[in-house]
Amino acid sequence: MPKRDRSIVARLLALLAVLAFVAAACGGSSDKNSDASGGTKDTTASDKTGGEIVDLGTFQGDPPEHIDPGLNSTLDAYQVINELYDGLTDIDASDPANPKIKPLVAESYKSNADATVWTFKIRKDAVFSNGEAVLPSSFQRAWERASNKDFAGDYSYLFNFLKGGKEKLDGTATTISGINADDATRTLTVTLAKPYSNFDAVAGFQIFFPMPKAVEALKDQKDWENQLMIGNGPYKLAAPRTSEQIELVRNDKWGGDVLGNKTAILDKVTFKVSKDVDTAYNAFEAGEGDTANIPPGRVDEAKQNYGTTLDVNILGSYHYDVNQNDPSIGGAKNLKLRQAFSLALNRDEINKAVYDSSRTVSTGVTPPGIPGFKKDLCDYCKYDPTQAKKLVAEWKAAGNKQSGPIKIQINADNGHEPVVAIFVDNLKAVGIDAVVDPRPTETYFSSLAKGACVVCRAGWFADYPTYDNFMYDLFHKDAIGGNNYSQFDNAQFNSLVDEAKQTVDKDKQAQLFQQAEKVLLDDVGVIPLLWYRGDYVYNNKKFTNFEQTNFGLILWDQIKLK
Amino acid sequence: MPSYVIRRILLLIPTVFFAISFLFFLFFTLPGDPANLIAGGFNRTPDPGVVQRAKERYDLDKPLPVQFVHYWERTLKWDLGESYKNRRSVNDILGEHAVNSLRLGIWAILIEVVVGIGVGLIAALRRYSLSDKITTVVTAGMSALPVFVLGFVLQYAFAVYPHKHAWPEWLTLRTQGLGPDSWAFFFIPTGEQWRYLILPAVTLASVSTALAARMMRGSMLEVLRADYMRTARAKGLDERSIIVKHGLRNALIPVVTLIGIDFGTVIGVAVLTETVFSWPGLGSEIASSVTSRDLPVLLGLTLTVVLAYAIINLLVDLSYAFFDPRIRLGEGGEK
Amino acid sequence: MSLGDPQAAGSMVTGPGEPVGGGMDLGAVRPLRKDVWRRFRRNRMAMIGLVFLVFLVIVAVFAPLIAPYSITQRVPLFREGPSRDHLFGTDIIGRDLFSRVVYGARVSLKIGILASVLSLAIGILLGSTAGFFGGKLDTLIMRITDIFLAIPYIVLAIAIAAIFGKSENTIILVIGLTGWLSITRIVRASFLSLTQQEYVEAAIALGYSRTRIMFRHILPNALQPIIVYGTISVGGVILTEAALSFLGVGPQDPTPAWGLMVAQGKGDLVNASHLLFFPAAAIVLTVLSFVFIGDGLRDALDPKLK
Repeated sequence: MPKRDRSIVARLLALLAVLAFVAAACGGSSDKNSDASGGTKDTTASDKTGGEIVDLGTFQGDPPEHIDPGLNSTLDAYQVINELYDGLTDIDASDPANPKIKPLVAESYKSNADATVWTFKIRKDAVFSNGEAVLPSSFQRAWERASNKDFAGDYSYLFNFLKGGKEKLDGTATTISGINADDATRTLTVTLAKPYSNFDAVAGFQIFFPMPKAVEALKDQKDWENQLMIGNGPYKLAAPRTSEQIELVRNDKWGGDVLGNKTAILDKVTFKVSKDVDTAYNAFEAGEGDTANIPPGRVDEAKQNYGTTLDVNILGSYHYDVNQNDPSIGGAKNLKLRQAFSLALNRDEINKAVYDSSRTVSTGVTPPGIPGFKKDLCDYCKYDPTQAKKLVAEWKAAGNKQSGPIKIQINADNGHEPVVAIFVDNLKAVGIDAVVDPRPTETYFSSLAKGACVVCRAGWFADYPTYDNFMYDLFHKDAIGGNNYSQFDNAQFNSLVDEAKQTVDKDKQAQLFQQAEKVLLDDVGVIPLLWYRGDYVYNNKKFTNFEQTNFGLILWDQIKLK
Repeated sequence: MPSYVIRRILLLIPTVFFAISFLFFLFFTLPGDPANLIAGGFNRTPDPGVVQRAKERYDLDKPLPVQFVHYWERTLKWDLGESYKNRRSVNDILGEHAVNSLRLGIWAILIEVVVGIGVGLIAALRRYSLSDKITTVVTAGMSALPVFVLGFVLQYAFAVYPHKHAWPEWLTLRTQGLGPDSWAFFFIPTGEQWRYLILPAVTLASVSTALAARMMRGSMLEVLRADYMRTARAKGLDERSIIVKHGLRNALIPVVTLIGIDFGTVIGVAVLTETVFSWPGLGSEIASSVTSRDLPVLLGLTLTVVLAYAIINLLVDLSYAFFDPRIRLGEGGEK
Repeated sequence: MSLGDPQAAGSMVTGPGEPVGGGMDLGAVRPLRKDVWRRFRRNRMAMIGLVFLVFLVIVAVFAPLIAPYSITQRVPLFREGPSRDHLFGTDIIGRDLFSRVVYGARVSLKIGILASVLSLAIGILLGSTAGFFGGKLDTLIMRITDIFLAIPYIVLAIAIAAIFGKSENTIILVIGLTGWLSITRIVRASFLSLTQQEYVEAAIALGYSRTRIMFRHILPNALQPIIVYGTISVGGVILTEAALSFLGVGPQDPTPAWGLMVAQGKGDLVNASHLLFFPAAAIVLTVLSFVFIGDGLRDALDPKLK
């Protein structure tokens, strides 16, 4: 599909960084050792810095709404913000199967026994690009600012984690009582509203990035992102952003990342805004930029002529939810119909036709890269029209018949039309009557949350790399009214997930989650389709070390000239 | 004349007021709760607290009539408000985009005037010649091709192809964005700038140039048959001065009207061209403000476009007096 | 005012001031039908246009007989170029493009004609009322027209599509409801001058009802510019449909509207150019036909020109 799938993206972003649970198992280890990860540090290449890259692949459609970490809610803009700011902690995803939370601007951190009080010790050498020291009060300043009622952005609700955060957001308190910044001892003490063992992961989210004193001089905080915003990341703004582009230049005062890199390599990174994915690709081909997003239909060509990130598994799933309460397809009596539905779909063909084989055919909902992932959990995700016909016959023999075509809902004009066209065709071949039901994007998700789903297009990017982010957040009974568009409420599933969330032993936990997913898939509460992969193309004659993480972020600061 | 101008300006006020008010109320009939969408509802179910704060920040918690009154109070002070989407001041957004639109529009109109009138004139004077026939077919063809297709073809032919075949850099045109922002006298591109301007300007001008050429041809042919031209010829004046002095002036009237209308549209609603060439102008911004439910941007930018359109039309009408002394303004009601 | 890249119905013809709508010249002299046809026939481009249009109508009517496949039927060939089995190749999910373009004639003609008829109907009704009755009614109607002229077309189009959903019928509504402005002005101008004619005064003196005078006596004499405008605007509507599809507010897949197919194939200019070329060619030829026929009619209806 031509445009970035915003519905899914937003989610990712949302908490992409809420990375909660990330280190559930690893705990808040503060060791700096990243040898095991191996990946990113290229020892053979020289450490020479220099060069420029012009990106045409990040902003398609409108320019980014916000590049202020306190306001942003999209992955696209996070590509920029992640280069401009560093937080207390960061995720080391260099070993995709085993992401770790590591301290970044904090040199170490710890929590009390019940995970309600977190103490971060800030590094001595941490400075903003203007030379101002990054202090505990820099974080306090940023947090008070981002939770200000009159400023608060889409993700300000994350301050509810903090003691006094709710009152601050409501406007009933002027400060968050749970923050204690002691600049003399470089200690930031955070008291939470309730125990939360993964706050270290959350603390690395963009809304918790520090802010320099300069923000206090602003008459209106919303002006910050429209001027030369000062940060502490590998790059700094070269000029205020415009509707057309965002220019970054290297910040020589940067303190380094969790992978051990100490300096940004390219002198300059320019993000150009294109209004259309196809013209952006044209511009890439015309040498106007060095990277682009690969439109469907250009995948083979891109692979042949340039470098791509198509090999990277992105932690996301493209699937269709099935409403368990819908009389035409939900419930026990329609189980065989659902199974037939899923078996009838030719996923390979969809991947090939619509996405130019740029995704991976799913064998379950939870994608590879999530700890505990197991291949081939789904018995009904293969293409077997014969078996599907048989199941339809059995379903009919039991006295059922279709009262009308099954509605397959999509948010219109987001590129899902061809997918459903193939669905309808595949289903017709096995004797199931279905029809596409395109719905306006403006009301799509809110209506699904209220139970309007029959078979509805959904998708999910991992907020944080845990199995429960797919099982609990999407299919547990607690998520009904939220993201559980299937209205899936299966006692066995619920108890397996509940148990798994409390299980400390990783292997045991993985098994429980796999069992739960098996229950979900056997009951066809969801029809998995495809897993996402990277979608950037870049000029590999000029650049090397162009990496996209599982979360979709490009490591702009470590790209090298060839 | 001055009273005519004043009357026209007075007529403008209710038109603008009702147009903008109509849009204001139309906005609230669009599906989807604006506050919900501002808080991120395009992609998921937003946090209720965030929705509530969005409502308060943008007045959306008040009854519609109250919002309406507040809107006009602010607008009359030329405070266009703050974009729901990116919280920038609409006055700033307007300034930035209006300049881009104006520059692109000026060039599109220049192309239309020079090429359109020139080609149409030549075709009319050499009626039935090969060049006339070619003009007829090409101009018709241009106005029959969807603009965005033309844009894509031009991008390939003048940017992608030359780059792939390693043509000299200066022969490779640019397809995306504004370029280095180096202009002389506001609108003359200098240095690298022209490589960015040329494709969008040509694309935007294509259809209107073709129409202007067709109209110029038709209008000139009609004038050439007119009685006063015959009289002039009978008086033994030489053909060239007849055409220039009498013919051209009269033939230009309808063309000038067309160009005037185009100037308004080119500035305000060049959505397709702006989209294909990622040119951040007013048209694409207005279009995306409807889709993204960004009311202040929608109203603020539309208001400006409406005013600009009205002023240009007024100038066009005044220019009739120049082209045709028989026309006296202020008589016989509206045109 | 119309779509900026001026391809909406309005600017296909012209704005106010163009000789077409002048009214003054029309008088009460109605050209004989036979003469019109004789003059029309002499215009070669117009005849070519007419022949193509007849061909198109035949294609549209007999689409099921001509198209080898249905519009949704798929074969396992994606983005394949033209071949003997698939004259125009296949689209991204393996539908036969030739069949879709053939059925597209139905959709595009339907949208073009119905939307034009809708805007003509509104325009004639409002324009004739304003022109005939004059006075306050005239002022009111013209002020309303001004207000809608002031609102960028695209804003209304996106808003209407958002309210009514996106479909073939919505597009007809969108274009019909936004395209009546120019025709209102043209009709009004004709009526203003025709109302002064002696035969109208005679009719009033005879005590005929106003509606009868408006529609039986004046309208036939004001028809020339309307016919010309209406013809050309069908082409304009087809282009507008393409523009709206490009902006994502057109009809929805699997509707085989040409404009939608072109918009979907925009990225395939080089890789799978057949996806763009055939529907675009269909649009260009159809629009040209309507333009040439319109030109021919204009010349044929206005004997002064020859």
